[in-house]
Amino acid sequence: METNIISPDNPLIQNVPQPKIRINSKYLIFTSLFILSLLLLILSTIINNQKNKLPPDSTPPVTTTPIPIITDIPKIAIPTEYQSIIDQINGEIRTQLEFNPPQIDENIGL
Amino acid sequence: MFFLIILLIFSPHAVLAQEPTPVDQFTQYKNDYTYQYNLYQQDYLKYLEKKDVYTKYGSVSTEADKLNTAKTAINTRNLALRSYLQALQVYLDKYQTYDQINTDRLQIEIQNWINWFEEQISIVPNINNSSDLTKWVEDFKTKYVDIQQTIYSALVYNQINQKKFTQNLLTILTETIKQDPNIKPENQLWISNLTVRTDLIDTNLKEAAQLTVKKPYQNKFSNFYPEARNLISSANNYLRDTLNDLKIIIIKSFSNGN
Repeated sequence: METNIISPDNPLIQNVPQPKIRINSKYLIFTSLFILSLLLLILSTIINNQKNKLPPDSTPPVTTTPIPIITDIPKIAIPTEYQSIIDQINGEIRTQLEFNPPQIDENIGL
Repeated sequence: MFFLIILLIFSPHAVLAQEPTPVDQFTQYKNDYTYQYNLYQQDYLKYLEKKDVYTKYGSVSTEADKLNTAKTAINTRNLALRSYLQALQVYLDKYQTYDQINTDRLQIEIQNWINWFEEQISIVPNINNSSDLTKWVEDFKTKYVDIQQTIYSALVYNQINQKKFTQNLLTILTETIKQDPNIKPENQLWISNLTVRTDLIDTNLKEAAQLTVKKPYQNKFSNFYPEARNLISSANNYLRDTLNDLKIIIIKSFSNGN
């Protein structure tokens, strides 16, 4: 009876060095750029479609204009010699002299 | 070190303790008046309650309750009115120099009413029956026409005096501006136009004062105060306009570097 014994020296079962796949870098860049541009194209198409579906916007775009902050209020040029008497007159003009009498019932006891 | 810390902690309090807060006479009287007026309001509500009970049952005991609560309410009302008049008398002091004659006259009138109320404060608790109380109330109602006349006249004159004081300050300001070499000649002409407004102020204040004069045989108080206040308010507007004009003159003369 003949037996098949595989010898370790058999070149058939020995590790045959695999040929290395060499990726061409130019090919890789080109592919990635192509995919990227394709994606951008799809994205822009979707956005355009969405825009066309929306009703035309009648309201003007909201723009925020900063409120000007007056840091330096121009002071009215009133000389100091006049300011004190003007302040006093202002105070008197604004004074409300109110000291109303009590509300009473004159008919108590009737 | 410990002593120093203690000294630092307590020193501000020590300084404060040395300076009592000044309370002017008007504030004292006004506080007293507010207190008395609150008491009057409480007693008045009690009186109304007893009056309702008497109207419902009409018994001798309910009549006595009504009389007693009426006397108490009248007494606290007299105390409140006296305190009000005391405060009002002092209230006139500040601007009295701008119409000394009328202010003095009104302060004397107020003092007479204060004296009258002081008498009544001792008389009213001794009233024993309803007919005497009715007589007293009728007399009070007649007198209260004159009391109100005095009160509102005093309020009007106090405001007139204050406006005269303000007008005097404006005159001082105008005179200072007139003498200022920095004021341009065209502005000096504008100042002379201010006299027209001064006349309008005087007219309004005179008319307000005229309203306080009691009409002969007047047995009901006709309230002249709202009308007088309107006239004084108009005078105040002229005073404000005058001040604004003077301010413009000053600003124009000084802000352009002449």
